[in-house]
Order: sequence, then structure tokens, then C-alpha cells
Amino acid sequence: MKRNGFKLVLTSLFAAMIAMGALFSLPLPPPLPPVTLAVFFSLLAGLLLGPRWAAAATGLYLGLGAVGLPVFANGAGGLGQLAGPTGGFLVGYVAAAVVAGAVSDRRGWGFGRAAAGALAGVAALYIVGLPRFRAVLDASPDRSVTMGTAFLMMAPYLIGDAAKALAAAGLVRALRPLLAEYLPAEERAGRPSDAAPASGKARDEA
Amino acid sequence: MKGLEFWKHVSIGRYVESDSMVHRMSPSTKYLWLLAVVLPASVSRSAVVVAAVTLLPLVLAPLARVRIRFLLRGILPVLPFVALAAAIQLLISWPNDGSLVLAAIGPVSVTAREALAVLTMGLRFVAIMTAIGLFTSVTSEGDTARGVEDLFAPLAAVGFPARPLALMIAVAFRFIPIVAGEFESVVKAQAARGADFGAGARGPIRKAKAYLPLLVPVTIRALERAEALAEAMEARCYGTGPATRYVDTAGGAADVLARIVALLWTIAALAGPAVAAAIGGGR
Repeated sequence: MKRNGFKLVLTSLFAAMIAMGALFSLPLPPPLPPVTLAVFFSLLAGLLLGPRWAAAATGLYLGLGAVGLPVFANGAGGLGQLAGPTGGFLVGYVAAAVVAGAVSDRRGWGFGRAAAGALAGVAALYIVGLPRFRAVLDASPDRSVTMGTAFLMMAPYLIGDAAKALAAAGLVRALRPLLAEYLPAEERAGRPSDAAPASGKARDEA
Repeated sequence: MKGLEFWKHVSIGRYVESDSMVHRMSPSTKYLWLLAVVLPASVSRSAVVVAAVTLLPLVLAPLARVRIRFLLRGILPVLPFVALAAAIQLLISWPNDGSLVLAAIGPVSVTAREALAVLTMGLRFVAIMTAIGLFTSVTSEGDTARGVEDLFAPLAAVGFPARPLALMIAVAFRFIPIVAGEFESVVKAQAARGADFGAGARGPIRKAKAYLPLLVPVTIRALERAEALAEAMEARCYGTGPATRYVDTAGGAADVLARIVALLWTIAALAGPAVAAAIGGGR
């Protein structure tokens, strides 16, 4: 159970870090979403914690924001943010973290798999976020926003997010020795409790 | 980096020891009252409802022997954000706004509808922040976690991890100010070595590169901190068997009454405007 306690705490910490990452934001006029580091930490949560715990970390972050804590970018908070044009991207953090965690390799901590996971996570972020963004913009009667237009509006972000994804993967590669110690490979993927004895042994040797 | 300053100094998470009526309530009752303010404040479209829920924490504060000034101080650092949002709201005029024009400077005019929207937005914010501030000043950290567990206890029967969830929320709450402090110290340390996080006239790639030295220490510190806390928990036998509780948080008859009032208040606040409109329309 040892690693379970550690992962639980790390999950909470990641929720706090995503919240703080949202503060490092470059605000843009609405309805455009701001550029923030929250995406980076969501992807990193996926790469380090795996899909289930990463879903918990991003979900916890959204929960804190939904009850009104100003943890979203620009000091925003509340359920209204999730319903707004950029709310889809907030929900997309969960998808991004889960996909990044599912694709990445949390045994060898290699750059390639981590980069593939993080980039797939970014793709998931847009798949979840874009339709909502388009739907809200398209709701005003005097405007018609197609999927293509919405995508073009978001294209500059995509470049930034891809850079964040590569940075997250690079970070995983750079911290490989540390991660191997703190997050040793599990015996069976997805069943952390089963791996307790083996991972405990790995830690003693480290 | 104004936000970091805010999170380091928020009144959120500061328990004020006292033996008031409000302090003695069970944590799950306090959660229901928190919800009674936060839920209508975030979703209600009615300015009257938002104003009413804004008053609620201010009325409850004297009962809890918490000074209103203490609650209001916590919201000061984010006022610039609210002011900015309000300014944007006022500058962008709404289509088909036929309401009374209160003031006009050149092409920019402030109508009654805009003023009301800005006021409501400000009140929403004050209501949520004071409610959370009051909640944390009357609820100890342990109770914060126990309350979540109590609220989700019915779901635990079907395998919902109520207790781990309660612990995770408590830890996340507690760590937000600490992580904020950590980000800030790393930013300052990097700035002292010549890093520039400000809005310089540089390309986006160079700007992004400036953040890389920030992310590495912050991530490493998170891993170390999680390890230290996990070891402290394991030293207290976390995860070795079924957990028991020393503190009883079931609450008495007063709690049951307070919970019912909180639920009724929430329902009234959410459904009130619709009912009032129906009655008004019927006449």
C-alpha cells in the first residue's frame, strides 16, 4: 500500500500545481482562452501518475475551481467557467492527462513514449475543447463559426501546447533517475495495490 | 505574479479557534451551508438572489465570532482582477440594450443593465470568497476532511472511495499556499540570476524557454514533498488496515435542523426567481 499513499499525496500536490500553473498565464481578450502552464502540469500529471491518478488530479483541480476557488486562469472560478466558451478546454485537461498517462511508458521513462503521450494528450485536449468552444461562439445568431474557423483561431495555441508537451516529455527524461526511485515500475499496470511488495523492495534497493 | 502573492496570503485555510455555536456544528452541516452560498452565487442569474447569498456569510460571521474585516481582507488582493473584468464588461456594449443610460463618456456609455451585471459579478465573487473564508475559519483541517467523508459516506457503501477523496481534498487545500510560496521563491531565485519572466519584447519561444528552469525545481520539490508526507502518513500506519476515527462528527438535533434549513435555503435560492416570475406572470 506504500506507493498508494505516495501517489495519493502526489495527486493532491499536482492538483495544487495545476492551480498555480494557471496563474502563470498570458491573458487574451475573451472569448479566447488564456495561455497557461496548467496544460503543462496536467500533461505532466498524466506522464508521471498514469491515467487513473492523473484523472483524479485534474478532476480535483476542476472540483476546486467549480466550488468557486479562483484557481482557473486570471483568478476565475465557479461553475460558470466550466459552462463558458473555454470550459471545454478545462474539462479537456482531464482527457489530456488520461490520454498522456495511457500512452506514456512509466517504466523506462523514455523521451519518445513520453512525447508521444503528451502530444496525444494535447490532441485529446482539443478534441474535447474545440466543439464546446465552437458551439458557444456559434450560439450568437449574427455569427456562424464553423469547426474550421474555430480550429484556425486555436492553431496558435496548438503550437504552444505542442511545445509544452515536448517540454513535459523532456522533463520526464531529465528526471529519469529520480522518477525511477520515487515511482518504481508497477508489477501489473493499473493495479497499484497489487504491486506494493515489489515496489517496496525496489525502493529499498534504490 | 500577483496571483502568487494572493494565494500566499489568502484567509482561506486559516482556522480561527473558538467555541461558538457555528464552530460546534458538525463539518457536514458546515459543508451544506457552504454549498447554500456557493451554488446559488455561481449559477443564479438573479441579482436579488446573489445579493441575498452575499449577505449570508456576513450574517453568520458574528455568530461564529469571526470578524467581518478578517473575511473581507482575504479578497483584497484579487480585486484588481475583478476590476479588470468589470472594466471589460462596461466597455463592451450589449446589443439591443434598451435600458437607461446612466453615464456616457464619448462612445462609451454605462447603462443600467451593464451596471447591474457588473455589480452582480462583484457580489458573486465576494459571496464565494467570504463563504469559503468563513467555512475554513470555523472548520479545522481535520474536520474539513471528515466532512467530505461524511457527505460521501452514503456512496462508500457502493465502493466509492470517500475516505481517500476526503484526504486528497484536504491535502490539496493545504498545499495550495505552500506550492504558491514555492513557485514564488523559485521565480525570485531565477530572477536574481538574470531570468526575465516579465513582458519583455521577445519572441514567444524565448519566453517559453525562460520557464523551463522554473519547472524542473518545482517538479522535483513536489516529488520530495509528496515522499515526506507519504512517509509521515505511513509512520502513522496509513493504509495498513481499516481506518477508525477518534472524533465523532455525527452531530445532534441542532445539526439536523441546520442541515434542513441549509437545504431549504438552497432550493429557495435556486428555484425562487422562477417561482416569483410564475406568480408575477399569473397576475
